[in-house]
Amino acid sequence: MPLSGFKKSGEAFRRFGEFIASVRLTTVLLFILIPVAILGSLIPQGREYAEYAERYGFKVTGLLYQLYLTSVFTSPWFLILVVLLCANILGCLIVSVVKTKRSFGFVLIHLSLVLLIAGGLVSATLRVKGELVLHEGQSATSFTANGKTIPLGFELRLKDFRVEHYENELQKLVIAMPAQSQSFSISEDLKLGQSRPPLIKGNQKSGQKKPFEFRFRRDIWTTIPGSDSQFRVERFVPDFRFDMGSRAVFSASEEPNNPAILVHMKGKDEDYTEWVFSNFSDFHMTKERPIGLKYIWAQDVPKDFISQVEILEKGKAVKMQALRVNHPLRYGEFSIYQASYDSQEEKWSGFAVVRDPGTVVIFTSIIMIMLGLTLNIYFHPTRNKKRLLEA
Amino acid sequence: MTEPHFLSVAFLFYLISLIPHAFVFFRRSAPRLERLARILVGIGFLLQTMALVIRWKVTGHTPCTNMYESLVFFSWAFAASYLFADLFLKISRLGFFILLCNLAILIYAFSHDATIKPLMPALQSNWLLLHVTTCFFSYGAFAVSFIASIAYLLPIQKKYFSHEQLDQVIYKSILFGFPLLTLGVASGAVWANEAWGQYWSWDPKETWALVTWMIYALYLHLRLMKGWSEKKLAWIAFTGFLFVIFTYVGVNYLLSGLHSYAK
Repeated sequence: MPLSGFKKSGEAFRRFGEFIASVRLTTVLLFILIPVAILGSLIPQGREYAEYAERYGFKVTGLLYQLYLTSVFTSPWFLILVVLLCANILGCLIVSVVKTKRSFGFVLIHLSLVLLIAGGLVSATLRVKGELVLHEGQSATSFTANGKTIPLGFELRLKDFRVEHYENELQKLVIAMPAQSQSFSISEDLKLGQSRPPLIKGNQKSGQKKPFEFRFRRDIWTTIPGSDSQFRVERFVPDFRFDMGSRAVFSASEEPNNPAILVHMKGKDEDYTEWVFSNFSDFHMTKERPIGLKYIWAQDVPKDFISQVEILEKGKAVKMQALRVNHPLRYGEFSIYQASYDSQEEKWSGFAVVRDPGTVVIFTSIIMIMLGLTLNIYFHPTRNKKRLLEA
Repeated sequence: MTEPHFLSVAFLFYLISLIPHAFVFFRRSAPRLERLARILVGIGFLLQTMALVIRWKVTGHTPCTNMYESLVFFSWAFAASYLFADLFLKISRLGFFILLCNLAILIYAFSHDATIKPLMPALQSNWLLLHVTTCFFSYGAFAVSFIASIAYLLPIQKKYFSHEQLDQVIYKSILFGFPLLTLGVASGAVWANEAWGQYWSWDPKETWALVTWMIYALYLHLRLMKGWSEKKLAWIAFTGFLFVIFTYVGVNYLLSGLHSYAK
């Protein structure tokens, strides 16, 4: 190749390098990345084909898939943009260190951004997230992620799982027993029903009913104190409807428009089920009963999900922890999170098991960027820096 | 006195401060009125601080877990940003518009449900405090830059403000808010890793916060490196805050995601 050819390619290479390390490229990339990110937030990401087809029609859906718009942030072209931005920042950083004397803060900020993107790429390629469901007393030595079984390297055992509720926010069933059958102790502890002090205090006149408040869980028999009666809530429907034809009860929606529960009452003289409505406390689908029932619906607000777990190595317990939301268990290379639970009987707990080597890179970059920004903006007189061009 | 009492009186002080602020806006020099306006806003701010402290004590957590609480908190951070900016940049001329906006935020807050609801498990974390305070103080600073950018872009500015001064207000508010927004997003990422096991999940709120961050990063680069004209930069600052508003309010109502408890 003649010498001029080398020169030409050398010149082109130098120009390319300058372009990569230019603030102009940063600006252009940001102007592209901003609408791209917006697009990725406006089009729901990672849904099923049917959902897109219903929302946008087949033609548009096909186009969305072709352009990776259903998975913008993992698409090849987004990856190219991000890698280009990373190269751009790195280029600017090198130029600024070699050519112009930049502050330590500047170097920290821009180096942290390079690390941030690198950490993101590490996570995108090496991150493992799987699910693990354990029943009380059960243990596991592996979990599944994307259909693959991955060994934990230790044994994880769920000793106990429980949900804590906000006391005042629970739905309640108020039961008014006929007055003559009251010979009970208020302090009697009901393990599951949790008796509350009676609503009406003072002397009972004959014929007056004595109401009791119960927090209840489904399908569990609870004895009404001072009587031979028991009750059990057998069904809950948020939006009660009754089909006259089939005489079947169904829920019109998931919204609590007409919450109702099916209560099964069992006692010496009675054994019946009855629908009780939160919105219509006086409405009865059957004849009036001597025992009065009133249902107070409330949005169930769990306070905490607590999984008592232990880690076993060669059959020996080496770590115990109450695993809760915001309090993951970290052991070995895995982090284990409270992810789902058995809302009916509180017998099992679902965990997310995560291994992500990118996290440490990201956290390092966060510390660096905060240090850099603090130095450069709050301490270093960048704020007094003169602008390049005055308008 | 309870939280609503303190908040109502704070509202009243902000409202009354509009009168001296209006005089300050129209008259070229009015140091006494400026001082009066500042004192009124200062008292309002202290009362609002009391309201927040009371709510904090009653609920037992940072008062920033639903739309009502966060709007009151934002209004408080906005008032703080104004007082702080006024200390260094003497922006009491903009005070009239800032207070007007702040009152609008409070009125909007009052239209939301103020009842205290129990805190869901995901929000029970010490990260809540750092995450929301940094985010809202950055929003407060950006709101100041927004008002200044409007004043810059409106044709009236020549009569009442100097170009140079407004440009400085925009620039310095953004410079002040940018690291706070960075910390807000970063602490959110650390928290998300703690709560969900994933530091970033491209949730709409996260994406829009990142977009907002990129716009302000763009502003700083265009200003410091590319030397764009003040007017163009004022437009960027103006747009930046529209993104803040969408990130804060719009995402909650229009896009569903992990931050849906903020409704």
